[in-house]
Amino acid sequence: MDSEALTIFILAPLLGALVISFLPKGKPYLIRFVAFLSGLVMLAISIMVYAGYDPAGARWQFQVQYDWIPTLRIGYHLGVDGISLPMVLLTGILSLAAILASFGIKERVKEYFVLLLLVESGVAGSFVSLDLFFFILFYELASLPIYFLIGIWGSEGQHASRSWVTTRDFSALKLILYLQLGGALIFIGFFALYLFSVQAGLSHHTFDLVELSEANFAHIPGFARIVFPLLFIAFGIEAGLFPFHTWLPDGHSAAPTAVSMLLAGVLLKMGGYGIMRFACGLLPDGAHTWLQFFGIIAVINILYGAWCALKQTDIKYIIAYSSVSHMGIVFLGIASQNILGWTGALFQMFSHGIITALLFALAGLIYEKTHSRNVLQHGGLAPKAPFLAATFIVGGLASLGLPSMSGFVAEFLTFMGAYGFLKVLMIIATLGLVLTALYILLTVKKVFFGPLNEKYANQEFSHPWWEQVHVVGLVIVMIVFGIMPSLITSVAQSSLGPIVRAFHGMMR
Amino acid sequence: MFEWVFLVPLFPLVAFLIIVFVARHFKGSKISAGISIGLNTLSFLLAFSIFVSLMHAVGHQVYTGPLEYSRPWIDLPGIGGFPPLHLEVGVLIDPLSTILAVMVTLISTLIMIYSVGYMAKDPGFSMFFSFLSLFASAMLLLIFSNNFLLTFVGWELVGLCSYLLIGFWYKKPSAARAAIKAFVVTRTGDIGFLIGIVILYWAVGSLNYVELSKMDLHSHLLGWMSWGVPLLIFCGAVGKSAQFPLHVWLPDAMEGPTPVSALIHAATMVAAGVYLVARSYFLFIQSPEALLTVAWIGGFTALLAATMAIVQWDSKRSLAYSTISQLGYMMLSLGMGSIGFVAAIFHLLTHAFFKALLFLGAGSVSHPFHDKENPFDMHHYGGLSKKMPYTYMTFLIATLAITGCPLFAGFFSKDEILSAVFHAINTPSHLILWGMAIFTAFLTSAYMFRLLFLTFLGKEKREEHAHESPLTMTAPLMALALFALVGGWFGWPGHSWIEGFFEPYRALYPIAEHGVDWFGMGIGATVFFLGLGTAWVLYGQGLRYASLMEIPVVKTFHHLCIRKWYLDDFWNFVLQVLVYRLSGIMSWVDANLVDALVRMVGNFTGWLGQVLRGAQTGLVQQYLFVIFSSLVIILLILNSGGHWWIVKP
Repeated sequence: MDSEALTIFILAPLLGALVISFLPKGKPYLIRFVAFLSGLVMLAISIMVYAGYDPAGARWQFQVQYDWIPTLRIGYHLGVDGISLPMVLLTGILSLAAILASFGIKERVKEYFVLLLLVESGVAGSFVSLDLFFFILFYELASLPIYFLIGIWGSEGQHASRSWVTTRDFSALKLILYLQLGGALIFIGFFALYLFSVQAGLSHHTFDLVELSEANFAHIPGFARIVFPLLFIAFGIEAGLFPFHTWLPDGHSAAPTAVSMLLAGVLLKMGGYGIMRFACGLLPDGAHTWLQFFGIIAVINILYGAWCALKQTDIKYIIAYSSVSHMGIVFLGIASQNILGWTGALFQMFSHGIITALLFALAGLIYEKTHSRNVLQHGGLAPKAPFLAATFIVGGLASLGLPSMSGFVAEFLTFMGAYGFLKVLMIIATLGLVLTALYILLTVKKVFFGPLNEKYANQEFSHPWWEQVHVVGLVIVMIVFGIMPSLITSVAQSSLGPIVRAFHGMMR
Repeated sequence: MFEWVFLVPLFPLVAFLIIVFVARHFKGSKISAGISIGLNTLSFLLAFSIFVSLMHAVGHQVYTGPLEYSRPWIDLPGIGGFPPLHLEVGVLIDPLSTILAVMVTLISTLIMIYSVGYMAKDPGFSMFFSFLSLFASAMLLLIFSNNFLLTFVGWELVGLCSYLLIGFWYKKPSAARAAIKAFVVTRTGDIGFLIGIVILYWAVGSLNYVELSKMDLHSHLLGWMSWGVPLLIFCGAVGKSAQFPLHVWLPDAMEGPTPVSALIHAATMVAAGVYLVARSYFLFIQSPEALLTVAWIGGFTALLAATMAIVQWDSKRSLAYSTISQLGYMMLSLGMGSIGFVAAIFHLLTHAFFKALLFLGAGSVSHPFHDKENPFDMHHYGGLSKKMPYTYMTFLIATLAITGCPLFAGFFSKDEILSAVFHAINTPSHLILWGMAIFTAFLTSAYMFRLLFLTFLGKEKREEHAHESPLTMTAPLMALALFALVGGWFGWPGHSWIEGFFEPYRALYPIAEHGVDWFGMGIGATVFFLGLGTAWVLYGQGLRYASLMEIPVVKTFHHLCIRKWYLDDFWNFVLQVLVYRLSGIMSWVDANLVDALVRMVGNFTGWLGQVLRGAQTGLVQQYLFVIFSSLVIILLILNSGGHWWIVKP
């Protein structure tokens, strides 16, 4: 059981998708039930793996390894360490939440859940895969179905300032092309690693991450200096790195609620994870050369995203730009190259995943009830929709980094780390805290406070159990990890240590 | 006894949780109030018994130093030269934290009792009590915290409660706006606080108060950091305690229900800034530059706010400016160095009681006027002393206390501050500060009596039902009035109990003994009577100030005060330009530059496709022609030996 846990983690949604594709179209409740079950299995496994991981033991645990193409050294190799563990838990939580958030889907339910489960399987696979080739495979599995999910089930908002975003097809196309560009660059980068692995001191070419981390690419003159930025940008595209972020607001906003949750919650994190794991983990000397530069970009991300969010009127655009801003904190933490910053970055990936998924879920519910995403057309909803108001305020406060919720721990650790290396940048970046507070609270005010918009005087705001469960569940996770941050910080240390130590060797 | 201290903040938190998850659903019942008041009383009793034990220990010289109970929160190993990170969650018991905890639990309980009457008909009755309980919990966390980070946690949480309670009547757009303003302005200061914490950690390697106070900070805080770190932390205090230039949020915060103004925006939360400076005094005391800055900010704020208080017609706003002014006094006192330390805390405590009383009194006065657009507009008031005898008496006591009438609370505590400033005079700068403080005392007396006269004396403006408030409201008034009356006696010159209680700090912050300061007391009493006289002449019997307004200088001054010295306009300008204008620009750049480039790439690809599509004609002859001509060209190139641009002879 232990060794196959991760395989089940990937297979559960895949099997769910398979079963659903054989179910009759006319029985949506059966389809939902199967999807719910596979989500439940994913969550259970992720918790089991998280609890079963021994921080004092070996770095890689729950490993499975089978050869696939031995001549090219491509193998089915799964395992988790302290870096992927929080991401696995995040995937487990958000997979179930996304499935619950999709219960309201009425059109083509069967196809929808098949595609959604495929995305979840892809995400799960990329976080636990220890083989570069399989990583790309899962990466593609996670991104391709999104094109259809947005194109078919997406929504079209009112974009006064974005006349060119004509249809959801446009957004879907933009997103998928961008993600594919990232995928292609990742592939080039990985192939370079494969080709130069012998020169870097290994006995054979390999796609295996554990073997590659034994290699020393610093021996090859100029290699890391070129491949590192390539990989950083490739993964950065997926994580919303300025100036490659413009797919993010358009894509997130056009996507159906559950897909927005997954996109912002876990797909962005695949980018951050990739940077930590592959770009920095395998090429620490390249990282050392370049990270100061990317630290500047990170600060641009933080402030630029916040400023852009302030101007938006579409609630999903506001949340999407806040993601650009918050992913900047991840980049900043990575760029600070010490244990504080890296722990902060990892914590921020987890925390932002939960918070932003919650906010997108709520934005989806608000849209469903009011049929408008324009915050200027809402107003005074608080007494009509106390559940939405309370949870949105709590989520918003977490997003602006209120202590006692997970966002604060992440930001504090990141700023702590950043000051150790990039003093001035850190001080500039803290301005983002004020801007974030401003746009979050203004959004809350526009949507929920003030006099009630007469249009909604007779609107019913009741929530079936699945809506309440996933929203409340995410709120609880957010608070639990904010109060007990050592749940993450303690498991991550043994795995972050070696990478950070490599940086420190460079600094000396 | 002491190890149960963690229950003090925990009781109100439990009240919050019970109300939010259970009691809220009992609509129409007052059970939420019962839960809040009950658990807060427990919290008060516990805090008080801790206080008594500690007092006993100090009195018998068996107090050995602050007591700490803590457990780790985040532990990160030190890797490669970076210091390890040990963050803890812990409580600290010493005279400072204990006495403040007693004050906070006592006042919050009293104000909760008052709120039962004040909020009786409000549909958000239960939520109101849940927020008040959450606030009490966060405030006590802030007070008992044993390190900067946990203080920051409590600090932000009280800010959250302040936001929720200012915006409690969120249907009013002005309340919603004021709530955001309060949160964002204080957060601007908090950034400095956060940066200060980070730099302090990197420089010293600890955030624990006791550890830090025992360290030789001079050897760690080098160069600019010796004054930079305390001043960055002071930024947080400037925001929270509404000091210049971040004071603009507090008057607007009066949009909240009156009990909130009394509890959060007068007695407790706004004093947190003063508490923070006192708590981290070891940082300030080692840098004269930092101390002088604190003194100037405090002294200037005190004066500035007093000038604004004197022209307000909204009773609550006038009291809000008064609060800012009094907080400025406390900062000024702290800026004097160790001589002003106890005076500042003493004034914090007495001020909490009489200012809470003033706000509750103003609320009680406004109660019959609730149908007016602004129930606090003093144009409606006048001659209420007969209709509201209890409110009048208590308000009078509070006014005498704040203005420094001899024997009332404020007389002793303000006198301590004035005499601390006086004794600290060794530079012209301190002399100016002393002058400012005296003048502010005069203004305080003037604007408070103006308020009193306009409200309770003179002719009654409306005959109908102005009436006394119910007992739940007047009983807390009387309890607070008792403290406003006798609270100052704890600092009786020459036999000061509070000096004795703070004796343990003498080791850290040594001061030279000075005897009873008759000179200072004389000056204090003089300016009190001067202010009283001025107010009597101008407002006591009808309004005679109109003739004063004829004088151009007075008119200009009046205009400046009404316009709040253009400081609100300044911040609005900053907000408009730096935030909104810039966000417009960024958003434009994002759409028309960054994204335009992306779209250009897309459009170029599309265009290329369009062009190349022209080649797909479907005519076989054409395809064959292209194939053969290409072949010929390729052959020519190959034959040229690489130099295909050179035509061979």
